[in-house]
Amino acid sequence: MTLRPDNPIPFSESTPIREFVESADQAMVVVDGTGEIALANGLAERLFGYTRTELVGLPVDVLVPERIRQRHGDLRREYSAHPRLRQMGGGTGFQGMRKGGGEFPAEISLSPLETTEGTYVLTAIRDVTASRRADYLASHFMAVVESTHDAIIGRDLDGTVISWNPGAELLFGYTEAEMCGQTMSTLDAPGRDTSSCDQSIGADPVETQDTVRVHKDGNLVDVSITNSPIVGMDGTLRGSSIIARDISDRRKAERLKDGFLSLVSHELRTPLSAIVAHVELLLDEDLLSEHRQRFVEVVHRNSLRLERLVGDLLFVAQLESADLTVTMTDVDIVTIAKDAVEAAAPRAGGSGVDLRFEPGGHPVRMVGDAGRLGQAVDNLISNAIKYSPDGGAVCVRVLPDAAECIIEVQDEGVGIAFDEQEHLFERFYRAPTAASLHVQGIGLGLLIVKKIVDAHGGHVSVRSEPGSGATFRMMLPLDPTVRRSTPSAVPALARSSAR
Amino acid sequence: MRRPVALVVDDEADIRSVITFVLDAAGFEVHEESDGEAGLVTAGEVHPDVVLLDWMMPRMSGVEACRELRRDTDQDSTVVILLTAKAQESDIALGFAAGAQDYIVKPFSPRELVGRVQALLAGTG
Repeated sequence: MTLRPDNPIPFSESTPIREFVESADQAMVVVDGTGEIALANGLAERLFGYTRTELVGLPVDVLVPERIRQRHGDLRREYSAHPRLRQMGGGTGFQGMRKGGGEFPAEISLSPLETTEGTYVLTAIRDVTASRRADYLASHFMAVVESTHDAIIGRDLDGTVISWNPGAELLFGYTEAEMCGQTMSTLDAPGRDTSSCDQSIGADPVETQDTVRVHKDGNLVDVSITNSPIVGMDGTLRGSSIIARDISDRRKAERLKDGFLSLVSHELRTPLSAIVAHVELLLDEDLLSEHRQRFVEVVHRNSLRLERLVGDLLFVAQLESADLTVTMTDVDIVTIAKDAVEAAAPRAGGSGVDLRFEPGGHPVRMVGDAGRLGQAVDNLISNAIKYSPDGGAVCVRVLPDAAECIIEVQDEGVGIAFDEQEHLFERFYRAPTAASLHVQGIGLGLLIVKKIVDAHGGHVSVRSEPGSGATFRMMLPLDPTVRRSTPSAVPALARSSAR
Repeated sequence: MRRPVALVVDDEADIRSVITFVLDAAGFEVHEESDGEAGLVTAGEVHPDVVLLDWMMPRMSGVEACRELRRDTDQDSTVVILLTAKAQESDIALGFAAGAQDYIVKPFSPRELVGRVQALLAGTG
């Protein structure tokens, strides 16, 4: 608005301009050609913290922070030379300063005011702290919604999708343009229950449900869906928001775990069944002594099997909560390997396996945990026996080197497909071959070997071709406290991923 | 008089032998196999009165073998008992759906097993 110069003494009592300024709904000051404040209203007093008496006669540049005062003066002089109406909102980053130094973001609008006394500038000032904060929060929330990997979907009261973030596009494959205007039933899996929580819109509190939806490409996705009502500031229901999270990995882990638990259950019950059944028969006083002897052997054998299984489970359960601790002493790895071979001899004999030991001559001293190393060798031997055909040979070798010791266990069993080899040392992994042959075991033996070898600073590897046996190698530094800088000189063996 | 014929199919030798022991003592002629496929072949040869089937076995599971036996009209009178470590209700339901007459969960009592076998055979007359 440009005020006409219809009053020769513009700012005396009861002039229309004075009344206009005073009754305005925002802070206003009138500034003369030299930059001095000629008039200020009550809202300007309140905004800047000065009394009206203080303001009048003050250079207007005092109302901006010191650091921009110079530039403010330049702009003001430029404006005085070419006065024009300047609306609010165009300026960016204008700052006001209160008496005592408090700064606030402001927007100003300027109107030239022609009077007989010369040209004045009517300045309206608005404190935009609150709206800046709101803008900031809005853009912040927008960035949160746009950046998250969770799908965030807004719907109106009819259930029509009205917003669809990049996370939703990533999870379900549809773009925002494709989904806006649609309903969530676009994602229904055929033949599945559609009474899921993302269908309803109501004032009910938040519901969360794990379910299955269909990706644009037709694949099923496991998702956890949370449906929350959107309630406006006035308390009315506006629609609902859906947050969907991809839980495929969790589901996969759950299935692996379920499979593992079912396997553990089977593996525990099998030796237990043999023990329970034979003990029941042993309680019969009339049992012939030859039968009695055989049954006791069965019970003994199955007790040992159960003991090993429970030991493995406890070992891995401990690994879940803490790293493997090893007690390092000076040990002879040849003796450790020999003891493991001797302990496994009865099991090898029982399975018709020819178990051989090639110690490679002298004792090999190294720093290690004798119990753990024995356990690792034993696990490799047990595996080799389990996968060996009747009459097959298992050979255990100790191959000393300058800086490390290699323990090798070779079998003539079914072998391991190349793509299965890299998974062998993973928790719960059982090679499909093992599963199809129903070989005893719960998939922890090689994991335990790897953990023990890792704790000794070594690595374990496998070489195998399906149908022609497998060779497992543990490569152990003679002193794990001394770090090797060069890789091992053992070629052609696929190494386990971790060091 | 012909001795009743039992077929024990289990991949665990210690389980097979204990079942064989008690069934033999109870007057059965007992045959053993260690997987479902071999079990079906032997069943075709010996026409057992009762087949005791483990569930989790190599090559062919006990449940599959049970279904196959049920398809074979020659084996109509054969009693099939699943003997397994799978103990969930859904497993048991699946076992009966496959055509088993009884379902025994491991660990099991050998004497109870003999009792069940005899009762089922008496029932089929």
